Amino acid sequence: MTWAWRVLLWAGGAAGLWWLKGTLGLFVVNLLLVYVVVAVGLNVLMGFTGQISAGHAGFLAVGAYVAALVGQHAPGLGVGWALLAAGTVSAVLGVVIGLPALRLAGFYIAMATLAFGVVVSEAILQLDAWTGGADGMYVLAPTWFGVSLETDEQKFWLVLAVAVLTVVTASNLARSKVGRALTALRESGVAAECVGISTPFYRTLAFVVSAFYTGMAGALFAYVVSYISPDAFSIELSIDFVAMVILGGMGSIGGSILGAALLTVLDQYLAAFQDFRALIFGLAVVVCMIALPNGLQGLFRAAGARLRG
Amino acid sequence: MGARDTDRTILSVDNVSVDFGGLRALNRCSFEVSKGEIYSIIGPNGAGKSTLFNVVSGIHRPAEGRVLFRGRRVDGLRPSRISRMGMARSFQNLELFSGMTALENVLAGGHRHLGYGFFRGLVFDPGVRREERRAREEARGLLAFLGVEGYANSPVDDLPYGVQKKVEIARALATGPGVLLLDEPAAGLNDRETGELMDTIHRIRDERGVTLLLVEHNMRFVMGLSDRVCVLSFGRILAEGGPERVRADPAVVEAYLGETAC
Ligand SMILES: Nc1ncnc2c1ncn2[C@@H]1O[C@H](COP(=O)(O)OP(=O)(O)OP(=O)(O)O)[C@@H](O)[C@H]1O
Ligand SMILES: [Mg+2]
Repeated sequence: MTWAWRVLLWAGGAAGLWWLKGTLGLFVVNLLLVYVVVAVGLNVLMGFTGQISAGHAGFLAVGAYVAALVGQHAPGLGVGWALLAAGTVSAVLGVVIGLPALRLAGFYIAMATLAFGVVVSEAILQLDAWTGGADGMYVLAPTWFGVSLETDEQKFWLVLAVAVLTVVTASNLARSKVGRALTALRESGVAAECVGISTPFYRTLAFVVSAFYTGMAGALFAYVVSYISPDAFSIELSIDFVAMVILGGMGSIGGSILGAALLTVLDQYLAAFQDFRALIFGLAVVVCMIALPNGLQGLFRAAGARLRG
Repeated sequence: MGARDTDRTILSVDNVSVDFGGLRALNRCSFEVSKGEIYSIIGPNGAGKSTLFNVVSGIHRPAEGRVLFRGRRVDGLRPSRISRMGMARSFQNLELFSGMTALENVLAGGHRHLGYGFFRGLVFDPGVRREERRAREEARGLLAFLGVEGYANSPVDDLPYGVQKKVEIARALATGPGVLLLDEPAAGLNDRETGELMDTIHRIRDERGVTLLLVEHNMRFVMGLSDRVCVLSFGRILAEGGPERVRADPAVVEAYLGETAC
Protein backbone atom coordinates (compact mmCIF):
# COMPACT_ATOMS: atom_id res chain seq x y z
CA MET A 1 0.00 0.00 0.00
CA THR A 2 1.30 3.42 -0.87
CA TRP A 3 1.54 6.27 1.61
CA ALA A 4 -1.20 8.20 -0.14
CA TRP A 5 -3.61 5.29 0.24
CA ARG A 6 -2.73 4.87 3.88
CA VAL A 7 -3.30 8.54 4.67
CA LEU A 8 -6.59 8.39 2.77
CA LEU A 9 -7.76 5.35 4.75
CA TRP A 10 -6.90 6.87 8.13
CA ALA A 11 -8.58 10.12 7.10
CA GLY A 12 -11.64 8.19 5.97
CA GLY A 13 -11.75 6.44 9.34
CA ALA A 14 -11.53 9.74 11.18
CA ALA A 15 -14.31 11.22 9.06
CA GLY A 16 -16.46 8.15 9.68
CA LEU A 17 -16.00 8.47 13.43
CA TRP A 18 -16.86 12.18 13.27
CA TRP A 19 -20.06 11.40 11.40
CA LEU A 20 -21.01 8.63 13.86
CA LYS A 21 -20.41 10.96 16.78
CA GLY A 22 -22.91 13.35 15.27
CA THR A 23 -25.60 10.76 14.56
CA LEU A 24 -25.27 8.17 17.33
CA GLY A 25 -23.26 9.97 19.97
CA LEU A 26 -19.82 9.55 21.45
CA PHE A 27 -20.81 6.65 23.68
CA VAL A 28 -21.52 4.48 20.62
CA VAL A 29 -18.29 5.62 19.00
CA ASN A 30 -16.39 4.54 22.10
CA LEU A 31 -18.11 1.18 22.10
CA LEU A 32 -17.35 0.77 18.41
CA LEU A 33 -13.65 1.40 19.03
CA VAL A 34 -13.62 -1.14 21.86
CA TYR A 35 -15.11 -3.70 19.49
CA VAL A 36 -12.49 -2.83 16.90
CA VAL A 37 -9.86 -3.91 19.42
CA VAL A 38 -11.76 -7.14 20.10
CA ALA A 39 -12.33 -7.93 16.43
CA VAL A 40 -8.68 -7.31 15.54
CA GLY A 41 -7.62 -9.44 18.51
CA LEU A 42 -9.98 -12.26 17.58
CA ASN A 43 -8.79 -12.05 13.99
CA VAL A 44 -5.23 -12.82 15.12
CA LEU A 45 -6.60 -16.15 16.26
CA MET A 46 -9.30 -16.84 13.68
CA GLY A 47 -7.88 -15.21 10.61
CA PHE A 48 -4.19 -15.99 11.01
CA THR A 49 -4.38 -19.48 12.47
CA GLY A 50 -7.86 -20.59 11.41
CA GLN A 51 -8.87 -21.54 14.95
CA ILE A 52 -12.33 -20.33 15.90
CA SER A 53 -13.10 -18.98 19.36
CA ALA A 54 -16.71 -18.89 20.48
CA GLY A 55 -15.79 -17.58 23.91
CA HIS A 56 -14.07 -14.25 23.47
CA ALA A 57 -16.69 -12.51 25.60
CA GLY A 58 -15.00 -14.48 28.39
CA PHE A 59 -11.67 -12.73 27.79
CA LEU A 60 -13.53 -9.42 27.53
CA ALA A 61 -15.17 -10.10 30.91
CA VAL A 62 -11.85 -10.99 32.52
CA GLY A 63 -10.30 -7.74 31.33
CA ALA A 64 -13.34 -5.73 32.41
CA TYR A 65 -13.35 -7.17 35.93
CA VAL A 66 -9.61 -6.78 36.33
CA ALA A 67 -9.99 -3.10 35.42
CA ALA A 68 -12.91 -2.70 37.82
CA LEU A 69 -11.01 -4.41 40.64
CA VAL A 70 -7.87 -2.39 39.98
CA GLY A 71 -10.00 0.77 40.11
CA GLN A 72 -11.49 -0.32 43.42
CA HIS A 73 -8.37 -1.59 45.19
CA ALA A 74 -5.63 0.51 43.59
CA PRO A 75 -7.40 3.70 42.54
CA GLY A 76 -4.21 5.68 42.05
CA LEU A 77 -2.79 3.29 39.47
CA GLY A 78 -2.39 4.82 36.00
CA VAL A 79 -4.58 3.65 33.16
CA GLY A 80 -1.60 2.20 31.30
CA TRP A 81 -0.87 -0.19 34.16
CA ALA A 82 -4.53 -1.09 34.52
CA LEU A 83 -4.74 -1.97 30.82
CA LEU A 84 -1.54 -3.96 31.06
CA ALA A 85 -2.92 -5.86 34.05
CA ALA A 86 -6.20 -6.58 32.26
CA GLY A 87 -4.40 -7.77 29.14
CA THR A 88 -1.92 -9.88 31.09
CA VAL A 89 -4.46 -11.72 33.23
CA SER A 90 -6.47 -12.42 30.10
CA ALA A 91 -3.32 -13.57 28.27
CA VAL A 92 -2.50 -16.00 31.07
CA LEU A 93 -5.97 -17.47 30.67
CA GLY A 94 -5.21 -17.57 26.94
CA VAL A 95 -2.36 -19.99 27.73
CA VAL A 96 -4.71 -22.04 29.88
CA ILE A 97 -7.16 -22.32 26.97
CA GLY A 98 -4.54 -22.46 24.24
CA LEU A 99 -2.59 -25.42 25.59
CA PRO A 100 -5.45 -27.93 25.69
CA ALA A 101 -6.73 -26.52 22.39
CA LEU A 102 -3.50 -27.80 20.80
CA ARG A 103 -4.86 -31.29 21.07
CA LEU A 104 -8.21 -30.39 19.55
CA ALA A 105 -9.43 -30.05 15.99
CA GLY A 106 -11.44 -27.04 14.76
CA PHE A 107 -14.94 -27.91 15.90
CA TYR A 108 -13.79 -29.03 19.35
CA ILE A 109 -11.82 -25.82 19.82
CA ALA A 110 -15.05 -23.95 19.17
CA MET A 111 -16.77 -26.05 21.83
CA ALA A 112 -13.93 -25.63 24.34
CA THR A 113 -13.85 -21.86 23.92
CA LEU A 114 -17.63 -21.70 24.15
CA ALA A 115 -17.36 -23.55 27.46
CA PHE A 116 -14.67 -21.11 28.58
CA GLY A 117 -17.06 -18.21 28.05
CA VAL A 118 -19.68 -19.91 30.18
CA VAL A 119 -17.16 -20.79 32.90
CA VAL A 120 -16.03 -17.17 33.16
CA SER A 121 -19.62 -15.94 33.64
CA GLU A 122 -20.18 -18.62 36.24
CA ALA A 123 -16.94 -17.78 38.03
CA ILE A 124 -17.91 -14.10 38.21
CA LEU A 125 -21.22 -15.10 39.81
CA GLN A 126 -19.50 -17.40 42.30
CA LEU A 127 -16.78 -14.93 43.29
CA ASP A 128 -19.40 -12.44 44.44
CA ALA A 129 -17.28 -11.29 47.37
CA TRP A 130 -15.07 -9.53 44.84
CA THR A 131 -17.27 -9.14 41.80
CA GLY A 132 -20.63 -8.42 43.38
CA GLY A 133 -22.03 -11.50 41.63
CA ALA A 134 -25.20 -10.90 39.63
CA ASP A 135 -25.47 -7.36 41.04
CA GLY A 136 -22.45 -6.36 39.02
CA MET A 137 -19.99 -3.64 39.90
CA TYR A 138 -19.39 0.01 39.21
CA VAL A 139 -16.18 0.89 37.46
CA LEU A 140 -14.15 3.87 38.62
CA ALA A 141 -12.91 6.18 35.90
CA PRO A 142 -9.30 5.49 34.94
CA THR A 143 -6.58 8.02 35.75
CA TRP A 144 -3.95 9.35 33.36
CA PHE A 145 -1.08 11.03 35.24
CA GLY A 146 -3.41 12.03 38.05
CA VAL A 147 -6.21 13.20 35.73
CA SER A 148 -9.39 11.18 36.08
CA LEU A 149 -10.90 10.36 32.67
CA GLU A 150 -14.56 10.95 33.50
CA THR A 151 -16.26 12.26 30.40
CA ASP A 152 -17.10 10.37 27.23
CA GLU A 153 -14.76 12.67 25.38
CA GLN A 154 -11.82 11.90 27.65
CA LYS A 155 -12.59 8.21 27.33
CA PHE A 156 -12.80 8.63 23.57
CA TRP A 157 -9.17 9.70 23.36
CA LEU A 158 -8.12 6.78 25.53
CA VAL A 159 -10.07 4.21 23.52
CA LEU A 160 -8.96 5.74 20.24
CA ALA A 161 -5.31 5.58 21.30
CA VAL A 162 -5.59 1.91 22.25
CA ALA A 163 -7.51 1.08 19.07
CA VAL A 164 -4.87 2.75 16.90
CA LEU A 165 -2.10 1.00 18.83
CA THR A 166 -3.90 -2.31 18.35
CA VAL A 167 -4.36 -1.83 14.62
CA VAL A 168 -0.75 -0.77 14.13
CA THR A 169 0.81 -3.55 16.22
CA ALA A 170 -1.46 -6.25 14.77
CA SER A 171 -0.62 -5.10 11.23
CA ASN A 172 3.06 -5.23 12.09
CA LEU A 173 2.61 -8.67 13.56
CA ALA A 174 0.89 -9.81 10.37
CA ARG A 175 3.82 -8.81 8.17
CA SER A 176 6.48 -10.02 10.60
CA LYS A 177 7.85 -13.54 10.75
CA VAL A 178 5.25 -14.33 13.41
CA GLY A 179 2.36 -13.54 11.07
CA ARG A 180 3.94 -15.65 8.34
CA ALA A 181 4.49 -18.53 10.76
CA LEU A 182 0.84 -18.45 11.85
CA THR A 183 -0.43 -18.36 8.27
CA ALA A 184 1.98 -21.15 7.32
CA LEU A 185 0.65 -23.30 10.17
CA ARG A 186 -2.91 -22.67 9.02
CA GLU A 187 -2.13 -23.70 5.45
CA SER A 188 -0.02 -26.78 6.18
CA GLY A 189 0.90 -27.92 9.65
CA VAL A 190 3.43 -30.54 8.49
CA ALA A 191 5.16 -28.24 6.05
CA ALA A 192 5.36 -25.48 8.67
CA GLU A 193 6.89 -27.90 11.19
CA CYS A 194 9.36 -29.07 8.55
CA VAL A 195 10.66 -25.52 8.08
CA GLY A 196 11.20 -25.18 11.83
CA ILE A 197 7.93 -23.52 12.89
CA SER A 198 6.82 -25.09 16.15
CA THR A 199 3.09 -25.84 16.15
CA PRO A 200 2.53 -25.78 19.94
CA PHE A 201 4.50 -22.56 20.39
CA TYR A 202 2.81 -20.55 17.67
CA ARG A 203 -0.70 -21.86 18.19
CA THR A 204 -0.46 -21.02 21.88
CA LEU A 205 1.06 -17.65 21.04
CA ALA A 206 -1.93 -16.85 18.83
CA PHE A 207 -4.27 -17.56 21.73
CA VAL A 208 -2.18 -15.46 24.08
CA VAL A 209 -1.96 -12.45 21.77
CA SER A 210 -5.65 -12.64 20.98
CA ALA A 211 -6.52 -12.90 24.67
CA PHE A 212 -4.24 -9.97 25.52
CA TYR A 213 -5.90 -7.61 23.03
CA THR A 214 -9.35 -8.75 24.11
CA GLY A 215 -8.51 -8.39 27.80
CA MET A 216 -7.35 -4.84 27.17
CA ALA A 217 -10.55 -4.21 25.25
CA GLY A 218 -12.43 -5.55 28.28
CA ALA A 219 -10.85 -2.88 30.49
CA LEU A 220 -11.82 -0.20 27.97
CA PHE A 221 -15.32 -1.63 27.80
CA ALA A 222 -15.59 -1.38 31.58
CA TYR A 223 -14.48 2.28 31.50
CA VAL A 224 -16.87 3.14 28.67
CA VAL A 225 -20.00 1.57 30.18
CA SER A 226 -18.87 2.24 33.81
CA TYR A 227 -21.04 -0.55 35.19
CA ILE A 228 -20.51 -4.24 34.47
CA SER A 229 -22.36 -7.43 35.32
CA PRO A 230 -21.98 -11.04 34.12
CA ASP A 231 -24.91 -10.89 31.72
CA ALA A 232 -23.10 -8.22 29.68
CA PHE A 233 -20.68 -10.96 28.56
CA SER A 234 -23.06 -13.48 27.06
CA ILE A 235 -22.53 -16.16 24.45
CA GLU A 236 -24.40 -13.89 22.03
CA LEU A 237 -21.65 -11.31 22.42
CA SER A 238 -19.02 -13.94 21.64
CA ILE A 239 -20.94 -14.87 18.52
CA ASP A 240 -21.21 -11.19 17.55
CA PHE A 241 -17.41 -10.99 17.71
CA VAL A 242 -17.08 -14.01 15.43
CA ALA A 243 -19.58 -12.35 13.08
CA MET A 244 -17.50 -9.15 13.03
CA VAL A 245 -14.41 -11.06 11.93
CA ILE A 246 -16.23 -13.13 9.31
CA LEU A 247 -18.21 -10.16 7.94
CA GLY A 248 -15.08 -8.07 7.71
CA GLY A 249 -13.01 -10.81 6.14
CA MET A 250 -10.91 -13.46 7.88
CA GLY A 251 -7.28 -12.48 8.21
CA SER A 252 -7.80 -8.85 7.20
CA ILE A 253 -7.24 -6.23 9.86
CA GLY A 254 -9.00 -3.55 7.82
CA GLY A 255 -11.85 -6.00 7.47
CA SER A 256 -12.10 -6.46 11.24
CA ILE A 257 -12.40 -2.70 11.66
CA LEU A 258 -15.21 -2.60 9.10
CA GLY A 259 -16.92 -5.63 10.62
CA ALA A 260 -16.82 -4.17 14.13
CA ALA A 261 -18.09 -0.81 12.88
CA LEU A 262 -20.90 -2.30 10.81
CA LEU A 263 -22.24 -4.57 13.55
CA THR A 264 -22.03 -1.87 16.21
CA VAL A 265 -23.96 0.61 14.07
CA LEU A 266 -26.42 -2.05 12.91
CA ASP A 267 -26.99 -2.97 16.52
CA GLN A 268 -28.01 0.61 17.32
CA TYR A 269 -30.57 0.72 14.53
CA LEU A 270 -31.89 -2.71 15.44
CA ALA A 271 -32.30 -1.81 19.12
CA ALA A 272 -35.99 -1.23 18.46
CA PHE A 273 -36.40 -4.75 17.08
CA GLN A 274 -34.63 -6.70 19.82
CA ASP A 275 -36.51 -9.90 18.95
CA PHE A 276 -35.29 -9.89 15.37
CA ARG A 277 -31.76 -8.84 16.13
CA ALA A 278 -30.31 -12.36 16.35
CA LEU A 279 -32.21 -13.34 13.21
CA ILE A 280 -30.92 -10.39 11.22
CA PHE A 281 -27.34 -10.82 12.44
CA GLY A 282 -27.47 -14.52 11.68
CA LEU A 283 -28.82 -13.91 8.19
CA ALA A 284 -26.22 -11.22 7.55
CA VAL A 285 -23.43 -13.64 8.45
CA VAL A 286 -24.82 -16.49 6.35
CA VAL A 287 -25.41 -14.23 3.33
CA CYS A 288 -21.95 -12.77 3.76
CA MET A 289 -20.26 -16.16 3.92
CA ILE A 290 -22.01 -17.24 0.73
CA ALA A 291 -21.88 -14.01 -1.27
CA LEU A 292 -18.64 -12.49 0.04
CA PRO A 293 -16.17 -15.24 0.85
CA ASN A 294 -13.52 -12.62 1.60
CA GLY A 295 -15.86 -10.40 3.61
CA LEU A 296 -16.31 -6.65 3.26
CA GLN A 297 -12.59 -6.30 2.84
CA GLY A 298 -12.75 -8.48 -0.27
CA LEU A 299 -15.62 -6.40 -1.65
CA PHE A 300 -13.66 -3.17 -1.19
CA ARG A 301 -10.57 -4.69 -2.71
CA ALA A 302 -12.48 -5.89 -5.77
CA ALA A 303 -14.10 -2.48 -6.17
CA GLY A 304 -10.69 -0.82 -5.87
CA ALA A 305 -9.23 -3.13 -8.50
CA ARG A 306 -12.10 -2.31 -10.87
CA LEU A 307 -11.63 1.45 -10.32
CA ARG A 308 -7.96 1.19 -11.18
CA GLY A 309 -8.97 -0.72 -14.32
CA MET B 1 31.78 -48.21 12.84
CA GLY B 2 35.15 -46.47 13.14
CA ALA B 3 35.78 -42.91 14.28
CA ARG B 4 36.55 -41.74 10.78
CA ASP B 5 33.28 -43.21 9.61
CA THR B 6 31.23 -41.29 12.16
CA ASP B 7 32.98 -38.13 11.06
CA ARG B 8 31.73 -38.53 7.54
CA THR B 9 28.31 -39.92 8.38
CA ILE B 10 25.70 -37.18 8.59
CA LEU B 11 22.60 -39.34 8.86
CA SER B 12 22.22 -42.84 10.12
CA VAL B 13 19.07 -44.90 10.22
CA ASP B 14 19.58 -47.79 12.58
CA ASN B 15 17.27 -50.79 12.67
CA VAL B 16 14.14 -48.66 12.20
CA SER B 17 10.64 -50.14 12.02
CA VAL B 18 7.34 -48.31 11.59
CA ASP B 19 3.90 -49.80 12.15
CA PHE B 20 0.56 -48.49 10.99
CA GLY B 21 -1.93 -50.52 12.96
CA GLY B 22 -1.25 -54.05 11.80
CA LEU B 23 0.81 -52.97 8.79
CA ARG B 24 4.57 -52.94 9.13
CA ALA B 25 5.52 -50.18 6.69
CA LEU B 26 9.24 -50.35 7.54
CA ASN B 27 11.00 -53.40 8.87
CA ARG B 28 14.40 -53.05 10.58
CA CYS B 29 15.89 -50.68 8.05
CA SER B 30 19.48 -49.56 8.49
CA PHE B 31 21.66 -47.39 6.31
CA GLU B 32 24.05 -44.48 6.56
CA VAL B 33 24.44 -41.40 4.44
CA SER B 34 27.76 -39.58 4.19
CA LYS B 35 28.25 -35.85 4.04
CA GLY B 36 28.02 -34.52 0.49
CA GLU B 37 26.51 -37.68 -0.90
CA ILE B 38 23.55 -38.02 -3.24
CA TYR B 39 21.76 -41.04 -1.85
CA SER B 40 18.64 -42.42 -3.51
CA ILE B 41 15.93 -44.68 -2.26
CA ILE B 42 14.00 -46.62 -4.87
CA GLY B 43 11.33 -49.28 -4.67
CA PRO B 44 7.85 -50.15 -5.89
CA ASN B 45 4.73 -48.23 -4.84
CA GLY B 46 3.90 -48.74 -1.19
CA ALA B 47 7.41 -49.96 -0.38
CA GLY B 48 7.75 -47.48 2.48
CA LYS B 49 9.92 -44.79 0.91
CA SER B 50 7.81 -41.83 1.99
CA THR B 51 7.37 -43.43 5.38
CA LEU B 52 11.14 -43.54 5.69
CA PHE B 53 11.31 -39.80 4.93
CA ASN B 54 8.58 -39.18 7.47
CA VAL B 55 10.53 -41.01 10.16
CA VAL B 56 13.76 -39.22 9.36
CA SER B 57 12.08 -35.79 9.36
CA GLY B 58 10.21 -36.51 12.59
CA ILE B 59 6.65 -36.75 11.28
CA HIS B 60 6.42 -40.42 12.31
CA ARG B 61 7.92 -42.03 15.35
CA PRO B 62 9.61 -45.39 14.76
CA ALA B 63 8.27 -48.42 16.63
CA GLU B 64 11.86 -49.49 17.15
CA GLY B 65 15.33 -48.38 16.14
CA ARG B 66 17.08 -45.02 16.12
CA VAL B 67 17.70 -42.15 13.77
CA LEU B 68 20.92 -40.19 14.24
CA PHE B 69 21.44 -36.85 12.58
CA ARG B 70 24.85 -35.23 12.95
CA GLY B 71 25.59 -37.72 15.69
CA ARG B 72 22.52 -36.82 17.74
CA ARG B 73 19.44 -38.92 18.21
CA VAL B 74 16.44 -37.30 16.54
CA ASP B 75 13.74 -39.97 16.56
CA GLY B 76 10.98 -38.77 18.85
CA LEU B 77 11.83 -35.09 18.34
CA ARG B 78 9.31 -32.70 16.77
CA PRO B 79 9.87 -32.05 13.04
CA SER B 80 10.47 -28.37 13.87
CA ARG B 81 13.37 -29.32 16.17
CA ILE B 82 14.91 -31.57 13.54
CA SER B 83 14.45 -28.87 10.92
CA ARG B 84 16.30 -26.38 13.09
CA MET B 85 19.17 -28.88 13.37
CA GLY B 86 19.53 -28.65 9.59
CA MET B 87 17.19 -31.07 7.90
CA ALA B 88 14.81 -29.96 5.17
CA ARG B 89 12.44 -31.77 2.84
CA SER B 90 9.93 -31.59 0.05
CA PHE B 91 6.72 -33.56 -0.12
CA GLN B 92 5.48 -36.13 -2.61
CA ASN B 93 2.14 -34.32 -2.84
CA LEU B 94 3.14 -30.69 -2.62
CA GLU B 95 2.61 -29.01 0.74
CA LEU B 96 2.95 -25.37 -0.22
CA PHE B 97 1.40 -22.63 1.88
CA SER B 98 -1.49 -21.70 -0.36
CA GLY B 99 -2.78 -18.17 -0.14
CA MET B 100 0.83 -16.98 0.03
CA THR B 101 2.99 -15.88 -2.87
CA ALA B 102 5.99 -17.92 -3.98
CA LEU B 103 8.27 -15.40 -2.26
CA GLU B 104 6.33 -15.57 0.99
CA ASN B 105 6.58 -19.36 0.93
CA VAL B 106 10.34 -19.09 0.70
CA LEU B 107 10.37 -16.39 3.39
CA ALA B 108 8.45 -18.74 5.69
CA GLY B 109 11.17 -21.29 4.98
CA GLY B 110 13.75 -18.80 6.23
CA HIS B 111 11.79 -18.32 9.45
CA ARG B 112 14.53 -19.37 11.84
CA HIS B 113 17.14 -17.10 10.28
CA LEU B 114 15.26 -13.95 11.22
CA GLY B 115 16.78 -12.90 14.50
CA TYR B 116 14.21 -10.40 15.78
CA GLY B 117 11.71 -11.47 18.44
CA PHE B 118 7.98 -11.18 18.88
CA PHE B 119 7.96 -7.73 20.52
CA ARG B 120 10.23 -6.16 17.94
CA GLY B 121 7.91 -7.64 15.33
CA LEU B 122 5.04 -5.69 16.91
CA VAL B 123 7.02 -2.45 16.72
CA PHE B 124 8.61 -3.19 13.35
CA ASP B 125 11.56 -0.91 14.07
CA PRO B 126 14.14 -0.06 11.38
CA GLY B 127 16.28 -3.03 12.42
CA VAL B 128 13.38 -5.39 11.73
CA ARG B 129 12.75 -3.63 8.43
CA ARG B 130 16.38 -4.16 7.45
CA GLU B 131 16.28 -7.83 8.42
CA GLU B 132 13.07 -8.37 6.47
CA ARG B 133 14.53 -6.68 3.42
CA ARG B 134 17.62 -8.85 3.58
CA ALA B 135 15.47 -11.99 4.00
CA ARG B 136 13.46 -10.97 0.95
CA GLU B 137 16.62 -10.57 -1.10
CA GLU B 138 17.82 -13.99 -0.01
CA ALA B 139 14.46 -15.57 -0.80
CA ARG B 140 14.52 -13.94 -4.23
CA GLY B 141 18.04 -15.28 -4.69
CA LEU B 142 16.87 -18.80 -3.92
CA LEU B 143 14.02 -18.52 -6.41
CA ALA B 144 16.58 -17.31 -8.94
CA PHE B 145 18.84 -20.26 -8.05
CA LEU B 146 15.96 -22.53 -9.09
CA GLY B 147 15.19 -20.40 -12.13
CA VAL B 148 11.73 -19.26 -11.03
CA GLU B 149 12.34 -15.71 -9.74
CA GLY B 150 9.86 -14.44 -12.32
CA TYR B 151 7.06 -15.98 -10.28
CA ALA B 152 8.12 -14.43 -6.95
CA ASN B 153 5.00 -12.36 -6.46
CA SER B 154 2.45 -14.79 -7.90
CA PRO B 155 0.18 -16.69 -5.52
CA VAL B 156 1.60 -20.24 -5.40
CA ASP B 157 -1.78 -21.78 -6.15
CA ASP B 158 -1.78 -20.17 -9.60
CA LEU B 159 1.63 -21.54 -10.63
CA PRO B 160 2.24 -24.48 -12.99
CA TYR B 161 3.05 -27.76 -11.28
CA GLY B 162 6.71 -27.75 -12.27
CA VAL B 163 7.18 -24.26 -10.84
CA GLN B 164 5.41 -25.20 -7.61
CA LYS B 165 7.85 -28.06 -7.16
CA LYS B 166 10.76 -25.67 -7.56
CA VAL B 167 9.25 -23.22 -5.09
CA GLU B 168 8.98 -26.05 -2.59
CA ILE B 169 12.67 -26.86 -3.05
CA ALA B 170 13.54 -23.17 -2.66
CA ARG B 171 11.52 -23.06 0.55
CA ALA B 172 13.39 -26.11 1.86
CA LEU B 173 16.74 -24.53 0.97
CA ALA B 174 15.73 -21.35 2.78
CA THR B 175 15.95 -23.24 6.07
CA GLY B 176 19.69 -23.56 5.41
CA PRO B 177 19.80 -27.35 5.54
CA GLY B 178 22.75 -29.72 5.78
CA VAL B 179 20.57 -32.55 4.49
CA LEU B 180 17.77 -32.19 2.00
CA LEU B 181 15.17 -34.90 1.43
CA LEU B 182 13.32 -34.77 -1.90
CA ASP B 183 10.34 -37.09 -2.31
CA GLU B 184 9.82 -37.85 -6.00
CA PRO B 185 11.10 -34.50 -7.28
CA ALA B 186 10.93 -35.57 -10.94
CA ALA B 187 7.38 -36.95 -10.85
CA GLY B 188 5.17 -35.07 -13.30
CA LEU B 189 8.07 -33.27 -14.97
CA ASN B 190 8.81 -33.60 -18.71
CA ASP B 191 12.22 -34.70 -20.03
CA ARG B 192 13.60 -31.19 -20.32
CA GLU B 193 12.46 -30.27 -16.82
CA THR B 194 13.90 -33.52 -15.47
CA GLY B 195 17.24 -32.72 -17.06
CA GLU B 196 17.19 -29.25 -15.50
CA LEU B 197 16.32 -30.74 -12.14
CA MET B 198 19.31 -33.10 -12.28
CA ASP B 199 21.49 -30.10 -12.93
CA THR B 200 19.89 -28.21 -10.05
CA ILE B 201 20.45 -31.09 -7.66
CA HIS B 202 24.11 -31.21 -8.58
CA ARG B 203 24.35 -27.48 -7.94
CA ILE B 204 22.61 -27.83 -4.58
CA ARG B 205 25.24 -30.34 -3.56
CA ASP B 206 28.27 -28.67 -5.13
CA GLU B 207 27.55 -24.98 -4.49
CA ARG B 208 25.78 -25.29 -1.17
CA GLY B 209 27.40 -28.38 0.26
CA VAL B 210 24.05 -30.00 0.94
CA THR B 211 23.74 -33.78 1.32
CA LEU B 212 20.80 -35.16 -0.66
CA LEU B 213 18.41 -37.98 -0.04
CA LEU B 214 16.13 -38.70 -2.97
CA VAL B 215 13.11 -40.89 -3.49
CA GLU B 216 12.43 -41.30 -7.18
CA HIS B 217 10.86 -43.71 -9.66
CA ASN B 218 12.56 -42.29 -12.74
CA MET B 219 15.50 -44.69 -13.25
CA ARG B 220 17.45 -42.52 -15.67
CA PHE B 221 17.30 -39.77 -13.09
CA VAL B 222 18.33 -42.02 -10.19
CA MET B 223 21.10 -43.84 -12.01
CA GLY B 224 22.50 -40.66 -13.49
CA LEU B 225 22.57 -38.74 -10.26
CA SER B 226 23.17 -40.99 -7.30
CA ASP B 227 26.39 -41.89 -5.57
CA ARG B 228 24.60 -44.76 -3.89
CA VAL B 229 21.18 -46.32 -4.21
CA CYS B 230 19.14 -48.21 -1.67
CA VAL B 231 16.35 -50.53 -2.75
CA LEU B 232 13.31 -50.85 -0.55
CA SER B 233 10.56 -53.41 -1.01
CA PHE B 234 7.73 -54.19 1.40
CA GLY B 235 9.46 -52.20 4.10
CA ARG B 236 12.77 -54.04 3.84
CA ILE B 237 16.08 -53.00 2.34
CA LEU B 238 16.89 -55.43 -0.46
CA ALA B 239 20.18 -54.00 -1.64
CA GLU B 240 22.40 -50.98 -1.33
CA GLY B 241 25.39 -49.75 -3.29
CA GLY B 242 26.53 -47.89 -6.38
CA PRO B 243 23.98 -47.56 -9.20
CA GLU B 244 25.59 -50.21 -11.42
CA ARG B 245 25.87 -52.75 -8.64
CA VAL B 246 22.27 -52.27 -7.56
CA ARG B 247 21.05 -52.46 -11.13
CA ALA B 248 22.79 -55.81 -11.55
CA ASP B 249 21.66 -57.32 -8.24
CA PRO B 250 19.44 -60.33 -9.04
CA ALA B 251 17.15 -59.81 -6.05
CA VAL B 252 16.54 -56.23 -7.14
CA VAL B 253 15.92 -57.18 -10.74
CA GLU B 254 13.32 -59.64 -9.58
CA ALA B 255 11.60 -57.41 -7.05
CA TYR B 256 11.62 -54.11 -8.81
CA LEU B 257 13.67 -53.30 -11.84
CA GLY B 258 12.45 -56.36 -13.74
CA GLU B 259 8.87 -55.21 -13.68
CA THR B 260 9.52 -51.62 -14.71
CA ALA B 261 12.24 -52.32 -17.26
CA CYS B 262 9.86 -53.97 -19.70
N1 LIG C 1 -0.27 -42.48 7.71
C1 LIG C 1 -0.44 -43.77 7.31
N2 LIG C 1 -1.38 -44.55 7.91
C2 LIG C 1 -1.56 -45.84 7.53
N3 LIG C 1 -0.86 -46.43 6.58
C3 LIG C 1 0.09 -45.72 5.94
C4 LIG C 1 0.33 -44.35 6.28
N4 LIG C 1 1.33 -43.89 5.48
C5 LIG C 1 1.67 -44.92 4.67
N5 LIG C 1 0.93 -46.03 4.95
C6 LIG C 1 1.09 -47.33 4.31
O1 LIG C 1 2.44 -47.71 4.45
C7 LIG C 1 2.91 -48.32 3.26
C8 LIG C 1 4.12 -47.55 2.75
O2 LIG C 1 3.66 -46.31 2.25
P1 LIG C 1 4.63 -45.18 1.66
O3 LIG C 1 3.82 -43.98 1.41
O4 LIG C 1 5.80 -45.05 2.54
O5 LIG C 1 5.06 -45.87 0.30
P2 LIG C 1 5.99 -45.28 -0.84
O6 LIG C 1 7.14 -46.22 -0.97
O7 LIG C 1 6.30 -43.87 -0.60
O8 LIG C 1 5.06 -45.45 -2.11
P3 LIG C 1 4.88 -44.50 -3.40
O9 LIG C 1 5.94 -44.84 -4.36
O10 LIG C 1 3.54 -44.85 -3.91
O11 LIG C 1 4.95 -43.09 -2.91
C9 LIG C 1 1.74 -48.35 2.30
O12 LIG C 1 1.15 -49.63 2.38
C10 LIG C 1 0.82 -47.29 2.82
O13 LIG C 1 -0.51 -47.61 2.52
MG1 LIG D 1 5.83 -42.09 -1.48
